[in-house]
Amino acid sequence: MITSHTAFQIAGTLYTLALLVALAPGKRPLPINLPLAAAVACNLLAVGLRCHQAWPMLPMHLGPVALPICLGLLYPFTAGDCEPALRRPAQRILLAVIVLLTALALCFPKDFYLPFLKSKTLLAHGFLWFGVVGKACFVFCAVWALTALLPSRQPHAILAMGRSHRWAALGFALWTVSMFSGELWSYLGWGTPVVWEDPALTLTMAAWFFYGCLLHLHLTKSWSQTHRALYASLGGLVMLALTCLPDLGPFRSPFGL
Amino acid sequence: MRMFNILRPGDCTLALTALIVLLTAAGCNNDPSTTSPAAGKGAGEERPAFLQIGEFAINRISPARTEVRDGAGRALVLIPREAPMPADCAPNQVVRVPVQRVVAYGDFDIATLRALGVQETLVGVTRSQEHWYVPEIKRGMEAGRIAYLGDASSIDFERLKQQQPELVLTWDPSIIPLLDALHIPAVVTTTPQAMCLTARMRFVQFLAPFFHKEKEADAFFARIDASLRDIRARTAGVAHQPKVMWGDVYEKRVMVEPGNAWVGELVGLAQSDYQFEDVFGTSCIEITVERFLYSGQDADIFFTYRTGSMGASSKAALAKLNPLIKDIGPLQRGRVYAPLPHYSQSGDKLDEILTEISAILHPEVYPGYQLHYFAELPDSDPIAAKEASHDRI
Amino acid sequence: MKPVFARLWNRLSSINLTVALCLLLTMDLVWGYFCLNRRTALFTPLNDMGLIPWAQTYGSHNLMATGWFFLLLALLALLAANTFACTTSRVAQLLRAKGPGSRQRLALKLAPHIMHYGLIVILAGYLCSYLFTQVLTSSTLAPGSHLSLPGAGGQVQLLAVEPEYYQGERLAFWKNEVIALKARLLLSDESGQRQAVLSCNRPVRFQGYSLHLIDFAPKSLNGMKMKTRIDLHVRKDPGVALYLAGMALFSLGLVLYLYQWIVHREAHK
Repeated sequence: MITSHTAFQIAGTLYTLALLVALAPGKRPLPINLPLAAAVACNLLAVGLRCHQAWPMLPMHLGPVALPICLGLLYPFTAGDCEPALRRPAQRILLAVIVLLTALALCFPKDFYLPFLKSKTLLAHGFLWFGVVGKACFVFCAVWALTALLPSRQPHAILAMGRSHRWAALGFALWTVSMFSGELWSYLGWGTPVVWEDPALTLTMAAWFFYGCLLHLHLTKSWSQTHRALYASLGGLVMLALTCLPDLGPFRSPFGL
Repeated sequence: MRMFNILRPGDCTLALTALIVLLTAAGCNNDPSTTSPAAGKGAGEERPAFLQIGEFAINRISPARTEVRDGAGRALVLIPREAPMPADCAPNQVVRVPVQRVVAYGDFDIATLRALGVQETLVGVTRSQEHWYVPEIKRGMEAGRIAYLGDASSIDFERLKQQQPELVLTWDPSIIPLLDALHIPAVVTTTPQAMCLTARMRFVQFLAPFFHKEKEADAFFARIDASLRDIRARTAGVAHQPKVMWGDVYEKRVMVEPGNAWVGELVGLAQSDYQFEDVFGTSCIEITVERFLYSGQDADIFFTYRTGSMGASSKAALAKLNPLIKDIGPLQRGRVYAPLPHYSQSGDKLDEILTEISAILHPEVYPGYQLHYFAELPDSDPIAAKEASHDRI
Repeated sequence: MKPVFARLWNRLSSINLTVALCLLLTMDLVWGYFCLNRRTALFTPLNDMGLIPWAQTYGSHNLMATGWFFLLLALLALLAANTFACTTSRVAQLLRAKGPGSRQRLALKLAPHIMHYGLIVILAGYLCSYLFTQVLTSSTLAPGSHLSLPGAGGQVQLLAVEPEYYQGERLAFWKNEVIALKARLLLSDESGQRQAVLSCNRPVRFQGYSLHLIDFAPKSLNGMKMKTRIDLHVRKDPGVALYLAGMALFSLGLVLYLYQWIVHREAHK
């Protein structure tokens, strides 16, 4: 019987293979759909097993394990009606981020807490899943902003930044829905929308203000395009790391059982 | 506001990064487990108006009113015995001090009363006489001054009423509705999160205002602080940092002491690695079997919750009770320790307990140390070993 | 006086101020994570004490760990003022410039501003909540015992606790543990009596108070014998309606904004 950890190890290997295929030199890119699809399937199995082991409660600290699935499933959006000059670097950066996230989740798992009874509500699940999809949109925002910064992509920088802005807006909307779900859950379960027992809530709020600021910068153009790209890309990656931090545990060998 | 018009993005990014690093360092440096001489107030020094001890708190409003917060977040008001009842709180929230008659559930609470020198106020316990190792309690029960009220899950309320307690120290909030009906205030002495080392040391300062024994509490705290300094000094240069676990497995359920518990903090302070240092939560927190086994692979020392009478008589016995853990490091090649029966009733000897744990972790810096509170488990039971050797003959 | 007010208003409504505040809030909240991490005992009382008592005790005596929170309050106050000034100016401009176009178009243009006003209402709701909520922490009820609510609030009696124990094999760690709990309450006041069911994420409202189930015992068929009880938090929170309304308003603005975005995309295709 395959375990969740084994399925995620296989997914990590396949994501790495997809990245290597994407990085392969040559004018005609090799098809990465197969290894990527297989990786996403294994990742889905890993997450499904964890959810199955905890249902109807919420599995704890599932974010870093679930995020690569969302990125993998949204991957085709880097291809659709996009300049080829932009597509390849964006896909490579995205795959690199997926591999890095998977490595972090494998090496620093926090899967040892048992689910708790108060998480047995749709609002808790909504808080998790809207948050994960929102975070995936933020990753796309950062990826497109990084693409806009590449010197060789400068003629297409405006297009890349446009895409970055759209992903930021979508991510912000989903992140807001996630926060509202969490606050409603907190109110029903504990009597107050903000329970000062989980430090992760401050990072959730920090990400909300960070992307709120980014949207204002896009809409008002008060910073130059390059500076907005830097903010969205580097700042976005820092915020991604910070929002993943509460879900990461101590180092554990990824090759262990 | 002109400065905002010239806010350059590059400057922002740099400032943002620098500020995050500085503030994070400030946040991380505020180590809650650090003790200092100033923390235990000496005679003549003014007491702080507000003192937080883990999840407990004392707020001195005036000489005639002290507000406290117990482990369950309940608010109580301490007033002098002869003072009029305050109008702004319910009668069951008011405790007249110094308290003269106490019922206590927990061994640590009773030990704290001993540390304060007020054990004569104890009038009721939830453990029968034959299970006590404290001479004063045994004598008190023999003399009829201290009553056995029954097991905590089935308290004899008529007996409790007869003892006329002025305060009940309990870990079981289910008694509170009945105590409210009897107009007896109660203090919940357990907390949602595990007590950290500082809270464990300072709990005596939380109970002190109930008995006007602040000086005694400070002296106790100073004694424990001194033992911690000694531990730090002795273990400062040790070469080997053993890996330590504290918990147990019950059928398929695993419970451990989290890293924020006093044992986890003590292990770190004594230059050792606590295998569950990253785990945060309540005492006896439940975690997955996989994590317990992973942490056990390279652990050197295992402290079990069980006493000898609960099956922790040898490593072989533990492995037989829990086949899941038979391959963990301490059972295979390391050391396993079980608490002795009087350990839980020895909270007033906290300095000795801390020293003993340190001696277990680093025997090389405590030559000739004799264990008083823990027993190292042999590889197999003495009787079983004897039978095995008879069989061989 | 008027020019001074106008100057202040213009500065308060500056978008650059918004950007700076958002950046400062982000940094402050990141700082807050490291201060809050494993120090929840300092901040948990904020859930029930109220902001002023907490600030006077826990807050002021642990400034190294709580300083970020006071800064957060100041920044949020400034953000609320900035958002109000900025949004009101722009809404006034929109309404003044309103042409013969449809109301629907105007509503869509107002979408971001609806979100901004929603945010202000949410912040006002939180402030109201932290300043004026009455809380009875850890009120314990055993079967048959009752709790009197403050004032002429009425009485709450616990009639029975109906636990449901997990009996399957999938959740090995949950075997014989309580997987669902229903507490039957009898609510009595001047107008009569009624029964209500309280469970983990299903509070009961009575006489303006909300009763939330925080803990219960026993949690297991096996293990240590514990007497049956439930622990409640009883809260009278005037801020609830405000922040729920604020969330609804913000969500409405969000939906309108996304709708406008999609319609705009379709129109440009």
